[in-house]
Amino acid sequence: MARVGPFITLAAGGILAVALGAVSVGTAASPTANTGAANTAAGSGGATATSSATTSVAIPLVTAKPSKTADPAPKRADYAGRVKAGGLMAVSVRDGKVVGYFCDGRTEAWFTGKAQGGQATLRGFGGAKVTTTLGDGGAKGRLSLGGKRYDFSAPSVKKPSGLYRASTVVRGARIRAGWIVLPNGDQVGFAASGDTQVPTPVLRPGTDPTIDGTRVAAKDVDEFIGELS
Amino acid sequence: MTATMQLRPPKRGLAPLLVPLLAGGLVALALGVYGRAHPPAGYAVGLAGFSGALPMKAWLTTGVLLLAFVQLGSALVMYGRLPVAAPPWLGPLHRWSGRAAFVLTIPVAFHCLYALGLRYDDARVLVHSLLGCFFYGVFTAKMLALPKRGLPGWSLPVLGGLVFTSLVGLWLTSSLWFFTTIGVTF
Repeated sequence: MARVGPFITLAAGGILAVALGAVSVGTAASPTANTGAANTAAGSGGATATSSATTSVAIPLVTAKPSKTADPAPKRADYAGRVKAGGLMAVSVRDGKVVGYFCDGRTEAWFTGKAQGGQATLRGFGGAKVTTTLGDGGAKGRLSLGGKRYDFSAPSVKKPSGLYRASTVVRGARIRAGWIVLPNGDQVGFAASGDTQVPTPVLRPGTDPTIDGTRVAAKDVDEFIGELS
Repeated sequence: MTATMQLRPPKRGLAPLLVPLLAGGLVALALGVYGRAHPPAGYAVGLAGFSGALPMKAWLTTGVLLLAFVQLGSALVMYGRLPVAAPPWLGPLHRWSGRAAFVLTIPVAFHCLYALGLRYDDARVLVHSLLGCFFYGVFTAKMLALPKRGLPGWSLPVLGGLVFTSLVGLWLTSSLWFFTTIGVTF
């Protein structure tokens, strides 16, 4: 027993990892391919059974995106879409905290706020404001920027689409950037060194772009949400 | 012929460590290569009961750290480094707390590798990524070394110490970061 115990330990870890992999692959397909089925299961059966794959595992399992449930205020959601007058808008929710970003390549604006019952009001710099709904399939809202109002509609998106941000200090200059990546590959970004706009590199999600000669980390929402208050 | 047989290296050589160390190195390498090659899925299945993947990982890792201290304490007693007589249940305690700790790490590491991948854009993330690969490598080496006979006496303490040290490093670069940057939330 003592001689096979360590092998059993290793094997148990390996089997658990494989099981998690199988369930993750299974649930990864369901939100997009079978949204209807997943919603019905979540609506009638509660939080545990979202797909047949999870029921075969003894421990209760959820996906890391519980936004697919009927909860009107998603704990975690990512939206990205177009502003009618031009430019892209991204909104992401993490545990009630909401971050928004508007960018058309020439101007940009960051917003933060809190989700309240499926809606959120986000504040930005200098009176800029976003009011939006936070639904299962998307966020619809209005952006108030520079005294004008723009409507936007942003469907739910999945990584690698969504919002990215870079912020770092290099030799005393603050380099910052934001990108919105849409599921069809369209993207818009804005980069600045200090107070000056600099050329924005095309972001390939998962890689780190070079801005003004410096390689910077393009962080996803999970990574930068702690930087915004 | 008999004389040469007697001249062979003593029984407590490094040879029995070769396979465990090689296997551990391969595990660490494989995890790192997978972490780089697999495009991050962005999410992964984990344990229920937490508000998100990061809090789940932060708390599971904290649980593992507590069990790791049980590991350290029981190992010190087993090796007679503490002025305490080893109770008969010490061996089972060491084995089962270790198993529990190892199993708890799996959902965490799974999310790290499947959802995020190995990254080096930030010192914390770089250290964490490398330590994570190292942890499973040295853990594999220790598991494979355990049943071997004729190991040098320092093998298991060194391997176990490396497992413990890398786990502390992993906790510092993840859970502590989470609790101080994002907050002590579930």
